[in-house]
Amino acid sequence: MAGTLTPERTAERLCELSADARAAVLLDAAGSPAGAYGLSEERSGELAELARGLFEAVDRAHRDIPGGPPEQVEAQVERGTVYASRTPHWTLAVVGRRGALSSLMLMDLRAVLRELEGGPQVRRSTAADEEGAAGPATEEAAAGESPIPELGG
Amino acid sequence: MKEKRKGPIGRAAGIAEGLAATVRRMQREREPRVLVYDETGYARLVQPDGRGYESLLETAERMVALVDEVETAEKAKPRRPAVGGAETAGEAEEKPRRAKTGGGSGKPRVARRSEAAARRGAKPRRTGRAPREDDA
Repeated sequence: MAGTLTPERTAERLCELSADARAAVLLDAAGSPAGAYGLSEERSGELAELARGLFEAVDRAHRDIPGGPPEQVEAQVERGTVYASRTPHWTLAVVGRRGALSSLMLMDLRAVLRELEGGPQVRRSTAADEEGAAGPATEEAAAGESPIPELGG
Repeated sequence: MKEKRKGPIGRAAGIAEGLAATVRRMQREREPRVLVYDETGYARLVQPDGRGYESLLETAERMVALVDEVETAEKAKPRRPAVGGAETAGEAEEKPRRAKTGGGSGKPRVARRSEAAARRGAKPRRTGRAPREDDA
């Protein structure tokens, strides 16, 4: 089901998906906060401001780096890691734990942003022995159950 | 090829090498670093002497510090009302702590022990010295 994720719910959705996400904030194309999770309203404004500054710094640093414009950034510091991802319409930044797996966190960021932009919903798998959770009967259904949207149908 | 058997010094050296490698790896993991990814997912490390590196790290540190601060404040809040009706963590802190040893009855430990022995019907323990013949 596409298009069910709202900007207000996006940061919360990301933190639900990833156990290592501590707080997240979503900015719109103008750089204004569109949603946050894990912080109070005033504090989320501060986080949004910092997230905007993060990509400004990335764009400054990018002049010295070969390749296309950065779409995602990962900054590891002593007490945690910051991940951020942007599309032409949205920027999503998350503060994660120090031990978070970068590839998983970046994939979650991409998947949630894709869902926000009307892409396929990120589906969370349930254990086969859970009540009412019937296993996929066909290969097509199994592909649809994949938590990775790229592999899904 | 069969590995040559190590003696005690060789084994100790092997353990020390392993420990040193672990310490080096942990230090490397703790080092701050910044990576940027393009749309294809190709990662590039921002060099410490590169433009914007300091700014990136500083911003990331401030973001983490902000979340740390909020989480610390959340932890300081009581999750349930403390015993005795204290509603804030500060009030709960002001209450005198119970002694960790000796129980809470307020009686000396020896007296409590003899009371317990009396309840069990045991003979009271001798606490003084035994009477001597020349005492009389």
